Amino acid sequence: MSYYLQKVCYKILNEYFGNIVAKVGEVLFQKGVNPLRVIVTYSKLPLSKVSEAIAVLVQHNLVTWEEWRPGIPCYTLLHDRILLILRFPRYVFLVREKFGEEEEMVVDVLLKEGQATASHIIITSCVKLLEASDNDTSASSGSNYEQRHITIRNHLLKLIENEFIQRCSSPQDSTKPVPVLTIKEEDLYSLPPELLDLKALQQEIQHRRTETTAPTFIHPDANVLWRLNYDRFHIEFRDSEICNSIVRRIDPLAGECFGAMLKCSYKVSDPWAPVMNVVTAADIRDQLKDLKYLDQYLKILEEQSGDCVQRVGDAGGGQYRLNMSNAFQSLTYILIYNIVQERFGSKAARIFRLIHKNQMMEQDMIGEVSMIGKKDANLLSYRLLHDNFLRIHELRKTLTPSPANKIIYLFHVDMSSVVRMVLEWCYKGMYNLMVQRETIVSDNRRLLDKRTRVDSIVENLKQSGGTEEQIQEVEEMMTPSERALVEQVVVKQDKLFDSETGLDETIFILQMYLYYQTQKA
Amino acid sequence: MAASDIASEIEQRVIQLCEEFKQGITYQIIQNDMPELKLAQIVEVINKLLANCRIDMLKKDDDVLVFKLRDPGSVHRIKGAEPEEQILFFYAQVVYKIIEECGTQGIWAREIRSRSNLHLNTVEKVLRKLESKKLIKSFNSVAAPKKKTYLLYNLEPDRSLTGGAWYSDQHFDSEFVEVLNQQCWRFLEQRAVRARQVAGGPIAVRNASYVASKDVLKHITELGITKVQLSIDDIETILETLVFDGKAERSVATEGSQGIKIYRAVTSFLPTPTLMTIPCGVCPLIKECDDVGNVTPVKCRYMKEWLQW
Repeated sequence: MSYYLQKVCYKILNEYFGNIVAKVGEVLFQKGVNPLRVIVTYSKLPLSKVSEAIAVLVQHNLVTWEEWRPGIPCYTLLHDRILLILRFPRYVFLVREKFGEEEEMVVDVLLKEGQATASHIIITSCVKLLEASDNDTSASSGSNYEQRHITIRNHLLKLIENEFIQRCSSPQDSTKPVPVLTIKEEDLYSLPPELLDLKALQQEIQHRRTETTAPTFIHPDANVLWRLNYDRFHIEFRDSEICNSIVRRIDPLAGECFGAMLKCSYKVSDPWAPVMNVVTAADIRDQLKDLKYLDQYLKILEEQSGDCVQRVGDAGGGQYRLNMSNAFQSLTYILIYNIVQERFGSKAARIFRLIHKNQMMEQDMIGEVSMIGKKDANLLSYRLLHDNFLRIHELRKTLTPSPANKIIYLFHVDMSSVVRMVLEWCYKGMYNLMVQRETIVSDNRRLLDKRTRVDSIVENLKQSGGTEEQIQEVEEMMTPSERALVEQVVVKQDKLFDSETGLDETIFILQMYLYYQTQKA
Repeated sequence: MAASDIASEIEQRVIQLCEEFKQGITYQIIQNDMPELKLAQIVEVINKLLANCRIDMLKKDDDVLVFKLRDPGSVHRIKGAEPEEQILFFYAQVVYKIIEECGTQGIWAREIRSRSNLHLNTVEKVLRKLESKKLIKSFNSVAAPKKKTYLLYNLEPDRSLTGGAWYSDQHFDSEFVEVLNQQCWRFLEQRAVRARQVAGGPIAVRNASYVASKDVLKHITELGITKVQLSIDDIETILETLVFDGKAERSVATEGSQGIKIYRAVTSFLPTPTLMTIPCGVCPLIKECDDVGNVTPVKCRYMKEWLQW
């Protein structure tokens, strides 16, 4: 909860849902848990707008509620979830890498809707995929056209089975004025076949493709909504983060070995536990039958994975366990070291590491051990102190200052406060990038609009069979300099967007670190 | 008989006595030898001898004063003394002795004063004299550059005073350290790259990438970038800085019966974080940046330059 987190949330909501939702979100962020009427007062918006906005937020799983006074609900904003909106492209990309194009479409539809029924997901993705294949003139999908909805259903089932999509909880007792949402554990990841009427699905897809009128089909699962299971995605991100670091440090085979360990660990333990349960080398060998030097790799991993892989016994060819908490601790340390290095130079990074490793260090000692001139060492350590990366501890024997007993100043690092500061800094950077992107768009709005218009006219002409000359003529409405400018704007936007995604990765590591720190305590 | 004749007679006798008793004579011995003398007379004679540097006055454990004939060699050390400066030479001897005791550690002028109970001016005068005669030399320690320390001319100052190989003219040679740091890292890195070609599993690769500190030393010496002879400890200090840079890793191995330190180059777990590739990460004004005022993300020059680039 911070000033910049609030601003980032506002920007995100504004970008995705418009300014009314953003305003309501801001009020909820600032004022905390509140009933509808209070939100209306604070936001100075009409009641109907506010209630619509809250409906949107609820639909996208960004707001929860509970009973405040008998019959009156109060709403809570889940600000962590708002930040996740920035991660959507990564979710989609992950699914595409792991599964395929159809699954990507399913997740995409679900991300846009927030919560949706299975039949809605299937129909929308089917229609979209068919449209896409229509545009590709080499439509080879004609043969399985009829079966499309069945394949999509299978893909959806696969996602549910892998827990990437979960069933939303629903009100059990409809008589209560403030509904309480609950769901049974076993229902979370199962889609009973009786919920889908395949025939109706096919008919609706047909209808949508041929007619323009709104369809009036009734599906049996109108009350069963589904949503993405973010945590499942985060497990993937987390694992790939550690795995990548191991690949960087050792080699790709070690990464594979680590992946196998993870797989074995998930069979026996909770994926979010800071320390996983023990797996034996024999289990891992079952996974990796053709890896030649498995034992050696396990030994190397034990030494070099930043304390993630720990050997705990010798039974079954060696017992290992994964310590996720340690893994993120070392990743975060490296991240912070890198940040210090980039911002203050490598000498400062040396001093920072030195102090962090030795816990408490005196000024004179720093210069000596780090092999940096005394003057430079002092300058750099005080600069780090000034920017809150270091802290100072005063040690005096008596309270009265006298030259006889010198006061000793010890430098030390308080990692968790440094992490929180860097996290705040990330939010600030993120906010600045978003503001910049918004400015670029609004500065060049006329130009971008023009290009969209020209493009759509050209597209229409092509559809209706216009001649080459006509197309040429329309395209010339944009001068070459305008074209170049548009190119530039697009490049800038992409750059900003890439940075936002990258920044989110940094935020992810820091958040994971903080999560595991709280688990430890 | 003139008083001076008596005095010189007593003098001769005292010196004779000193020659007889090599371990030194006490006041009591003189008194026994010449029972007719008064105390004042003996004191006068002794004082004269002391002033002429013929004898030394020492104090035994039981606080009894002992007189000894002066070693002619020590008189020789400050040969060429003018007779009227005899007192000064006596002081010089005291000071010389104090400096000699301190050996390679050297001693500060103030310290000499407090030990010899002489006036600071006298001490300084004496020191200047001794220095000009090349009996002692002065030296500025790196720990306290303004403090002049003195030690015997033929001695080399201790490592703790010169700062070892890393100091030239009392200044920390950070450039030299930097070059060595780079070279050591390059050597380790080369080894690590070569090690990757080694067949026989990851442990073999890892072992091949480890380099013992003495091999690094050999390499550095062969490179000839330094005229100073470096020791194993020196090179380990440099390698240790690489460990703190996160570029190397230390381990220990046994060679014969003793453990040696071995090092290897490692790559970082993470690439540069994106936070640092955007202007805000390295922005010096990040604390001032906000929505209003002169520093805002919209007006940001760094951001504009970065986007143009």
